[in-house]
Amino acid sequence: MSAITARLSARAALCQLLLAFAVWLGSSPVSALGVEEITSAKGIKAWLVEEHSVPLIAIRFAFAGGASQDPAGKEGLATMVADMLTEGAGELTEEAFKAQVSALGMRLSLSAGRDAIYGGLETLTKRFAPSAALLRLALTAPRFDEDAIERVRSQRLTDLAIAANEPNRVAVDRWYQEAFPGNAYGRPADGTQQSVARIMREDLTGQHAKLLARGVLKVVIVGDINKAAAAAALDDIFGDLPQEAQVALLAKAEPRPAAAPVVVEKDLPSATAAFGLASLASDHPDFPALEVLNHIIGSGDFDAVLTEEIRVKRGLAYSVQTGLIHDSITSLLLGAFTTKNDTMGSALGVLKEVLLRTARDGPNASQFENAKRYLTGSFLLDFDTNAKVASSLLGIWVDGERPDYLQRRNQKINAVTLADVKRVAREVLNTQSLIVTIVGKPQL
Amino acid sequence: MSRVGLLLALAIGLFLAPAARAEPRVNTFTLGNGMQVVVIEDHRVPVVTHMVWYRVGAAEDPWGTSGIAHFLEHLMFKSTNKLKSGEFSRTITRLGGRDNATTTHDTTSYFQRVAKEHLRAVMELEADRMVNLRLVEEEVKTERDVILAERRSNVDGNPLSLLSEQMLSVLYHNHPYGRPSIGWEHEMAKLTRQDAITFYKRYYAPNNAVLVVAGDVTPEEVRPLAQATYGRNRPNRGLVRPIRPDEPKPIAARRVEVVDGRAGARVLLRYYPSPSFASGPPGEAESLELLARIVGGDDTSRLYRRLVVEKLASTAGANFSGATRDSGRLAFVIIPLEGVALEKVEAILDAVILEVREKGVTEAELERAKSAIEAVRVFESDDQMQLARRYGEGIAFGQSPAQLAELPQRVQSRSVEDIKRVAAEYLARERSVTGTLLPQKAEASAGPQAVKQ
Repeated sequence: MSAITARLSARAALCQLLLAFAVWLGSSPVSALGVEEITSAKGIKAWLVEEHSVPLIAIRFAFAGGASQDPAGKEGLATMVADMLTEGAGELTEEAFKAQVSALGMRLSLSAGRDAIYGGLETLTKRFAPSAALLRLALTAPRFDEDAIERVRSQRLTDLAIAANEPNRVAVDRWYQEAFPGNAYGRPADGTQQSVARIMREDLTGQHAKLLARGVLKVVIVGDINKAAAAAALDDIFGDLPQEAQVALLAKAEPRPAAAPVVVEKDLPSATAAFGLASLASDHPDFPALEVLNHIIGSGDFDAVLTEEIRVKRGLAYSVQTGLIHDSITSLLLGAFTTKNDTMGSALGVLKEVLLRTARDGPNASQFENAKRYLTGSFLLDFDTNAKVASSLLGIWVDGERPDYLQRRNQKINAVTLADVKRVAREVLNTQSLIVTIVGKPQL
Repeated sequence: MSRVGLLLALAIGLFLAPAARAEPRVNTFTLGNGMQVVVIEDHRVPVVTHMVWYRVGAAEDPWGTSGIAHFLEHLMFKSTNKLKSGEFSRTITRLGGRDNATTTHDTTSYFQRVAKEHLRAVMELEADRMVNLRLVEEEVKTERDVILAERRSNVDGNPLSLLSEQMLSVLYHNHPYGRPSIGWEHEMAKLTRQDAITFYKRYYAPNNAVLVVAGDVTPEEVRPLAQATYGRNRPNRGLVRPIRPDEPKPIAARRVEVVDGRAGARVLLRYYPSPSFASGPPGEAESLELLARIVGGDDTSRLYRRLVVEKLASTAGANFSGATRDSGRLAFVIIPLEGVALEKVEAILDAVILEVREKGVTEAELERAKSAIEAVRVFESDDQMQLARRYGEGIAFGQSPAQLAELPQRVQSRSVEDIKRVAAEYLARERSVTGTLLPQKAEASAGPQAVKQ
């Protein structure tokens, strides 16, 4: 039976929405976890958390580069490379490879985002060696058989047709297009019907050789494995990849403000809006204050200002949330909500009013204290499964942090003052630079 | 009823999980007022998951007021005799915790995740709103707009959800599983404060609830806390759950077609009713789960090989939903590639189903499916929320902790004969509902003769 909930979990909605665009900032690390930096014999670095209470091992990794490296006209290439890695490798045909994955009961996933190719493996401890061997094959010796390429292409084309009708996807895609015109970031990461049709086998093999290299690799291993075995596994899995990747990372860019909301007209009963503006990089000294501010306005909890004003007081939307996104080229504060077509204008009015008021007056002392208590206290909650620990740590690392971030993070939040948050609100919440994209038939 | 009696723990069952490290330590006991308590120990991090499961859901919505169980779940975040509206969640947030709630046809559940030192505070809050809810007319009206908005975004905004909703209403002739748990829009729009209060007074009581505490706690720590909080609430001795009508024997295959311009692709969906883990004889649901996995669980499955590998579909899979009190469900889904007629992929689905009903499955397929399910069980056991859900929901359905813990053994003991038998029994054509989602009435891409039904 389908389950329906009082509200979307604090992160679920935006995570779904933004999955393709960025690694979510891991905002709730835990000091109890011992994160160790290890280096394999071949020099591959990884973060390791030993956790022996459940007999499973989770690995998460990222190769920096991703869809931002797709040549113009061949958008969707990195996504298709990632798909093809599990379609047969080495001596194993597609069928034989998948039969082994299935028999091991392992979870193996590879996908491309704008900034990286991401991968994950979860398997029972007792099946770790054969599972790791399959991952090695997938990364180092994918077959790129013509038959599988054609099948994956037709699957991608169907996926694109479906995604073109998902309001959230369309709204956020359009948001990036408006914010970064002419930039690789403004192009659709999964490609278009035309660009996917153009991708040839040599494009795939060429991009595979360029993107998958040890020099751009970050790996996190969590679970029932010791340091020596983890270091050996790093060399087994990744050791045969070339050292140097051939990627040209994008230059930093600022979103270009749009004067009025951009509407993608579709005949829908509701309108979905994506909204956002430039924010602060995760290494900015004021970033902890921005985290506090973001929680106050857009956590999605009932006491968040936007939820209070849009949902609780007016019943305009089921969920309204904002998140802090770190892309390689920029840092953003991005949010979304869905409301009736005829109430979109008033909901946007409430949104702007909240941003203006918060920029002018800042939050009050009790909102500020509650947010800090939440951010420091909720600390442990996202670190309760090996897979989630691995994903969160990888996100923290990709954002440029060190393993000891876990120890420092709460101190940083605790050091934030109300004056800091007010200053950041004035600087960041500039409604003049707000970009809004809407899918539906909104009355504005 | 004396206070002492209320506070007295009646039944105390200690249950030890089997030796495998993957299975957690689970203890159960019952408070004097009839509230069942489950404690699941997980000492990895100093966090607890606290859940209350009410044995009431959308299947209990009185006729004409569909959606009331879910609406009440939303209203439970408003004021009580002690708390101002919104204060519940605000307090959880201040404690650095998370909270949410979920309504299904069978249960309404509320949960919080907090650092272990806040467990008592959370139990006090949840025990308070079990009996002290106070609803203000204005807040009820605004919240009704919120559930209507929720329906618009999650159901009406998604053609596949609409198709599924239509199919379920046809799959069940007599049982309330045929009504959507969020409610029909025209009935939701008329739900009142009084509807919510009547439902609340009738069903929200300690003797209709299961408490689950999972995490860094022991039963010895939880017992006195439970007695001091929930133990003070009076039971509803007159509580009678309405009888849920049984389904008649299905005798006719049914078809549903949804035409929706917002659909990005054509979809074929097929449902068959079946037993669930709670309603079927031991092992039956386990056989169905293995069957679904073999037919359509992953890229080695029969449907994937026949449809996706052969470049007829982009997606082809099967799924068994067995976490229900009454009927479970086998589901099959196929998204054909552009240019491939729906009739063609449906004929292949029928052929695959016929084959498994007549010839069964191979030992190799069964072994692979068992191995995969074993791994999924361990992945789930790594997740405190999922563990708490497994026990809270199962016990709310009337299963014992032992039954729930022995599921892996029941899966491993299934034979190829078992799989063949359940396939033959439950995948009979006349039991099914077939649904198609079409972006437009005629299938332009599949040729003019494509739609003939």
